[in-house]
Amino acid sequence: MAATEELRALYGVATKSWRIFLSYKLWMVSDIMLGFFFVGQALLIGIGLTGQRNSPALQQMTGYSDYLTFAVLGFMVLGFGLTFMSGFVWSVVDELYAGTLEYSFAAPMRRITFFLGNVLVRIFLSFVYMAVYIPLFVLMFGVHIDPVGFFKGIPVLLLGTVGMIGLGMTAAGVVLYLKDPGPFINILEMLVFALSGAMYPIKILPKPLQLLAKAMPYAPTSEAVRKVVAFGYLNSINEITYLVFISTLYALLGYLAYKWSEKQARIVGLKSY
Amino acid sequence: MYAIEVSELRKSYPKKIPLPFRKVEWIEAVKGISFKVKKGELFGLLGPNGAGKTTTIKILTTLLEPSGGTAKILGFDIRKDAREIRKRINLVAEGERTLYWRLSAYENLKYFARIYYIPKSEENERIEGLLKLVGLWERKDDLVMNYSRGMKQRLAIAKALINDPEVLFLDEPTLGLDVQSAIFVREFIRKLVDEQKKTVLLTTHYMAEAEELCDRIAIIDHGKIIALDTPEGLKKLVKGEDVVEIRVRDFSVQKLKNFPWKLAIVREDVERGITTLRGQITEEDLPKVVELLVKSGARILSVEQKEPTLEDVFIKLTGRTLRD
Ligand SMILES: Nc1ncnc2c1ncn2[C@@H]1O[C@H](COP(=O)(O)OP(=O)(O)OP(=O)(O)O)[C@@H](O)[C@H]1O
Ligand SMILES: [Mg+2]
Repeated sequence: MAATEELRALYGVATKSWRIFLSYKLWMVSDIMLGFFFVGQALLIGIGLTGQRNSPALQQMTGYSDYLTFAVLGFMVLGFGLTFMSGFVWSVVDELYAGTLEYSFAAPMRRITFFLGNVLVRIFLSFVYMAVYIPLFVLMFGVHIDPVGFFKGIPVLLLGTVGMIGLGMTAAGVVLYLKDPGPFINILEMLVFALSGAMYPIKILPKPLQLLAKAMPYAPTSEAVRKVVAFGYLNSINEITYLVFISTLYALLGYLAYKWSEKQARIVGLKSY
Repeated sequence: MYAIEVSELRKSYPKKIPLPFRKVEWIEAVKGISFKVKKGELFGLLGPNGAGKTTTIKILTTLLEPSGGTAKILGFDIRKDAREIRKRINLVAEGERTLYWRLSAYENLKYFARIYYIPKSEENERIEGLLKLVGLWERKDDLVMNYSRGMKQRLAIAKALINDPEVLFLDEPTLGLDVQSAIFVREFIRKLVDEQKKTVLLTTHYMAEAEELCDRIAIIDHGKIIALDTPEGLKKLVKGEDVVEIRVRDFSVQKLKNFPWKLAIVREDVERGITTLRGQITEEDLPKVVELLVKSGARILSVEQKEPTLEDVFIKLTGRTLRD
């Protein structure tokens, strides 16, 4: 009984989020365009620098010779990452700005349901984007992805998603109490962008940045997905193990941040703007 | 059992987010208030800006943790049984940006029905009933952003009835509404109590509203309840004394130091330089008041006897008007 009630509430939150997302008609267009610019640029930079799409250096470092395929897989992970960072965090902050959070928090629904409902919509959106991108990338840029390998990558992506959601929850939990959340979200987005390992292998980063990249869930997800797509699960045990570790860590962190934020909300009150 | 039982309730807000390594100052918004509301009663919290009305409502609706004291809603403790309370109450919050403007009225209520665990089988019927009740059924598919202020408030009230709550909390339900909408809302609230036997706690800083609507009123100022009674009972506090309104030109507060009577400025016509003062002044005192005013450089335009209102109670207790 209680479980079905909570599921209905979850469904309610997700439907509401989805409707609100659809009401900003240009969002989806701009989101999708961003992807094309990203991959198009990757292709042009690759060809511009080496005169060809294949790079022996990349081959040596990652096992991928085709830079574009490398970048497309990275972009998928990044797409997921940004969906949780910006999409999810902003959707909560937007409600804070609009003043609509209070009614949701006053309902008997559990607060975690509210967050998860928003997350669910974001996951769904990420898959919609992928379904648009992949065929177009294959058609326009001639990306070669082995379908079997690709589907092997999806469970790994979902595993990484757990960590990304954790980071998103942490950010959302913190951001609710900042005087001015905009800059904080921007910096986090930049970090995600630069350290996701989407455009280049993080091995080429300076050591401290490499460590930072390793400490966030994005680069480990990119690496594990790429490895699995190219070499299968058995050859990727190390990457997968590390991803399990980092995802668990962030899931925990996200949960704690959410708990902290719930407590704060009841002491400080929600900020209104 | 009382619908609402509040005892020595306190709330302080930190000026900054409290972190382990940071010492923060706290602002005391509610300073130990106590009152009881019976089932089926329409109870008002009347007070000026910053009195602590919204804070009290947020604590009673379990949105805020109190810093001290206790409160029970329908016998449930606000700290321990928050979820049980939430199922049985609802609120209309302050301001107009509380619903989803990018959704229609129908979609808004659908959302709230789901997060209030309304069974699927009852959902549509209930939403339809509520939208008809507040007169928005014809506009149910319009986006809320295209609604007038009054329509938004009626939708907020419909939302607050979605779980058929036993106790309703309304924070300044008529603030910013046009006259017509305000009348609709007031009559609607009265009907909820008279016909559906709901318990209502509302806040307002309109004394006429409190006087017309509420069974009992607590006057709250600077986080404390300074009087609590029926409207008639409260007005008895100023009975026997005469309420006088004095209109003067060139009034200056600075020159009125050590003025022994509680007079409040109720109106200021800056353009014409006319100030209206109001307070309880006996017949014997009146000439002395006028004399002191004239000495301070003010020119008396008129002196008028008035019927006492709740505002006079407030002036008598604090020396200020509700608008100060
Ligand atoms: N989240 C908050 N953080 C810090 N101080 C707050 C917060 N909310 C309210 N206060 C302070 O607490 C006091 C009481 O505020 P509250 O909003 O409860 O008053 P109110 O009676 O509802 O006033 P109004 O008529 O303006 O709505 C005020 O001094 C206000 O500045
Ligand atoms: Mg208020």
